[in-house]
Amino acid sequence: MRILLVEDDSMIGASVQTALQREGFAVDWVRDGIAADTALTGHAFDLVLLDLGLPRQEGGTVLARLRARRDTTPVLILSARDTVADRIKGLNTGADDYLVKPFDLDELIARIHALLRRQAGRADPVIRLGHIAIDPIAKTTLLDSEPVTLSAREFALLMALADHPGAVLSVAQLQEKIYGWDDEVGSNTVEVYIHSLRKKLGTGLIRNVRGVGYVIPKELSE
Amino acid sequence: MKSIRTTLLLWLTGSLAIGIALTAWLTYRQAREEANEIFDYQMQQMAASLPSRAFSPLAPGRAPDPEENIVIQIWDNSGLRIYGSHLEAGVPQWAKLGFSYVRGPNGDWRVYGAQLGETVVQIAQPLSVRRLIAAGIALRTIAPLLLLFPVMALLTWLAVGQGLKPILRVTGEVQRRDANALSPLENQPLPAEIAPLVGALNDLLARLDKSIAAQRDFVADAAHELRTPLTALQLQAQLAERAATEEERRTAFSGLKAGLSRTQHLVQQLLTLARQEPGAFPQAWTAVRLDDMVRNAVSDFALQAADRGLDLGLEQADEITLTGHADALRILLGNLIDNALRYTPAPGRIDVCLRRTVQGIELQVDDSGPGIPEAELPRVRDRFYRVAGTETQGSGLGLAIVQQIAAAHGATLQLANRAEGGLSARVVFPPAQISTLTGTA
Repeated sequence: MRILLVEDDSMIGASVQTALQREGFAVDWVRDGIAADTALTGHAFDLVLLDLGLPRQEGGTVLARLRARRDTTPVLILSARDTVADRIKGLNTGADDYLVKPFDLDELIARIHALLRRQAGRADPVIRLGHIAIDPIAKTTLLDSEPVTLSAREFALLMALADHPGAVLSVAQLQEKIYGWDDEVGSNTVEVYIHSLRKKLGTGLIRNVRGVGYVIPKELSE
Repeated sequence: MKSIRTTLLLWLTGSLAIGIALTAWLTYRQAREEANEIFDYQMQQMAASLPSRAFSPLAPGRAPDPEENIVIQIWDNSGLRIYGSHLEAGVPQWAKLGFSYVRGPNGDWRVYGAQLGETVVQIAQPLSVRRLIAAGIALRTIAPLLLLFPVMALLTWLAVGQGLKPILRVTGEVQRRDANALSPLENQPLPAEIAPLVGALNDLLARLDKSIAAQRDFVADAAHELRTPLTALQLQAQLAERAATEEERRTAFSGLKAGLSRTQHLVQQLLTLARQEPGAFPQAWTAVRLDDMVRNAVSDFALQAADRGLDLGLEQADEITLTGHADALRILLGNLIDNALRYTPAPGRIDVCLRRTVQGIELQVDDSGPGIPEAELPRVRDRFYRVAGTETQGSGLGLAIVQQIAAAHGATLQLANRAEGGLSARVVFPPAQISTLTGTA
């Protein structure tokens, strides 16, 4: 899951980035409205954390431009502006949620998971795919009710595919989902993780569509 | 408490009483004069109409009115009194001809003496009778005036009540207000005497409203600004809490410390700004040796500058004694140098300069930092304004504080980008601010 963090305060930005990375998210951090615009037009994100009072371009403008491009990426506003009018304005501009600073880290993470669930069209916090149950919040995976140990990257890759069963994702797309800009990406690492996941969870879970990418069959989720 | 109504009543009844007393006195004087004329004439007539023969009895119709207390005496040419009426009244023995006043044992008398043939006739009347009659006339004249007292008191009472009605209305309007309603009072149908008061009150309300609004904005801004470092603190604390390794914990705690010192700096600057607020803190104006202060400030910041790889130095320090608030000036100087230190990347140079010019006194701090984009120059002295994209942690209050202190000293803060790069911050004090104690310090 790849998140764009737009925050001009370096202390807040660094803390949120660290915390979310520890939760297994790939986090890209930009510090002004123009950079946010550029990032959002050039890359696909699963979620945007957006501050409103930004240098060079207001967060509200970034949001309005995003929605004008018919981009449906969930946006969670993080702002010190706490009046009801501010929140209403933010939500009406196209935000999916609004969190007032100072906020609790756990609440932020819970809201991020809720937004990602809604975006994937799920209500159940646990993703069930045949014999496999994935809990994105606890970051646990059960195979026939038995816990399976996955590395952080493996889990991130599994989540990327499990979020949209039936959608074929290319290696490049999968790389984008599990690595931030700052992360070192080795060649064929995605293939290595896929191989490892198949070994741990069975070969039927992740299928290869030759020349296109990987997919978790949609029928597993039904 | 003094009441306008009572004061007016006292003054009006007092002047009325004085007026009536004066009228009574004048009437009495006039009546007495008239009574004198009439009675003198009567006495003359009486004397003329007396029978020339003293022995003939007095005609009964001619008998003097006992009310008028007229005493008649007649002497023959040998000096023997041959007639006397009411002698018991104690009339003086007097034989002067014509009118005269005589002092008797029982009071003053008006006496008229006349030579009638061989006899001397004297007609006397006590003055008290005449006075009584005059007083009676005066009293009858002023009696209706006395009735005026209650009528006038009542009318005054009503008129004052009517006249003060607008004050009651304004009072009610003020009383009904809560502390937040500072809109002007209704000033339309007011008498000319009260309108200026309400006008002055409205002026005060307007000024209060403005200053309270400014205060409210400031508190709102301050609360908003405190949110950012508090958010950082909360996040850093939570990160420290959930740190899995010793390394992570160390990083989190050093972040937490940095967040704390940033919050501290902001709170300190807020406090400084509040203290420099006009009238917030009484500060004594003293003669301040500005050059000594500048030298001290530069040496105070020297170590910090060296640690950051910056060359901080004093270019020039003319001997100047200024009238001002010593603490405030120290803060001004500290903020200017601190600002330069914060925003100048290493290696860099900061020059401090204090000199006397034709315009007054110039205190100038030049740095070799990035300067401020021209478009933002006018705004950087606003509270909480920070230049976009600035990496450095700052409160956004430094220049606002400098501006406020400069204004309190009648000085101006001038900001300009230097041609060779960097910012030049200059505070220019007017010549009037130079202490008259120059040279004695």
